[in-house]
Amino acid sequence: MKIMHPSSKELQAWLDGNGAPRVDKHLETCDRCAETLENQVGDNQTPTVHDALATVLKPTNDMTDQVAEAVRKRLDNREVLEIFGGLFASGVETTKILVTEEGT
Amino acid sequence: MEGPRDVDAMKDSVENQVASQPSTDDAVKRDPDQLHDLVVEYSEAVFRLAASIVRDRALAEDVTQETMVKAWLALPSFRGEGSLRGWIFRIAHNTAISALRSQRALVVDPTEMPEPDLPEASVEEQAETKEAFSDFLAELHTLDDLSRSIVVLREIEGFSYQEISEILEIPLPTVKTRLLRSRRRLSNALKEWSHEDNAS
Repeated sequence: MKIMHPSSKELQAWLDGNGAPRVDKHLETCDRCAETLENQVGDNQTPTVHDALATVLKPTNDMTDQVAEAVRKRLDNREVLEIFGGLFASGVETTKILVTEEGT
Repeated sequence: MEGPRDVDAMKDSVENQVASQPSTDDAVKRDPDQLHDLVVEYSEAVFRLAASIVRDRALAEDVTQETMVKAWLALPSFRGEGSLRGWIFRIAHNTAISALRSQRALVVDPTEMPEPDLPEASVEEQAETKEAFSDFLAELHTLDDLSRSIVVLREIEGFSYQEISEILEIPLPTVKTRLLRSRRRLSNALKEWSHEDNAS
């Protein structure tokens, strides 16, 4: 079966965000068209995009400490639930439901 | 900010520990220092990916937390097929997508999705940064979830196309083509701002 690849005009439109759904679907699996696009626009790292992304997605300075503390607490709670659940031979999730329903 | 860290040493240490752990139940009882190392090593990168997907800093922090808990509990099941880093990013991506779906279920109108905040800074600095990157942010928001993930994994985290394909479980050409288009659109948004800035 002959595969109909998008024309360079269609590829250009797709790059600009105006591609037809057919082109979108085709580009999900077509190696040849991926290569054509690479040749068309180049495949260099883009320092400006990298810098801008790093700026807008930068976490707060204390985020790591906050996450570490929160994760440690959650795992400690889980350990308590495991011990408690062990007494009644119930799993962590079941114990969590039982404890919550008891309002403790 | 942490200084340069020996990622391989940390990874080896965690992986050695994984090998010595008999079951998931013991996960919470492992060395707390190892847990701390895991969080320090990966939480910022996980946050960046999560923030790009969920577009909300508070939710991205929740996703980061959830990812770290899941990764720690599941470490004994990590068989070393592929990199530990890739494995953690796959957990992060799936967790972020789940969080986004839950949020979308609550937010009826997609335009009500919260704008991402900028990092802690003075009001003036925030205003300047917001102005400088407003077009960039707007363009970033117009990308689909998958394209945002791809561009962050490649541009910020430096994963190869193959690794991204494995992390996101998508075909290689999808990675390549979406990345090319995303880069182009984001670059154009930055160029437009740069031209406006020069003109003023």
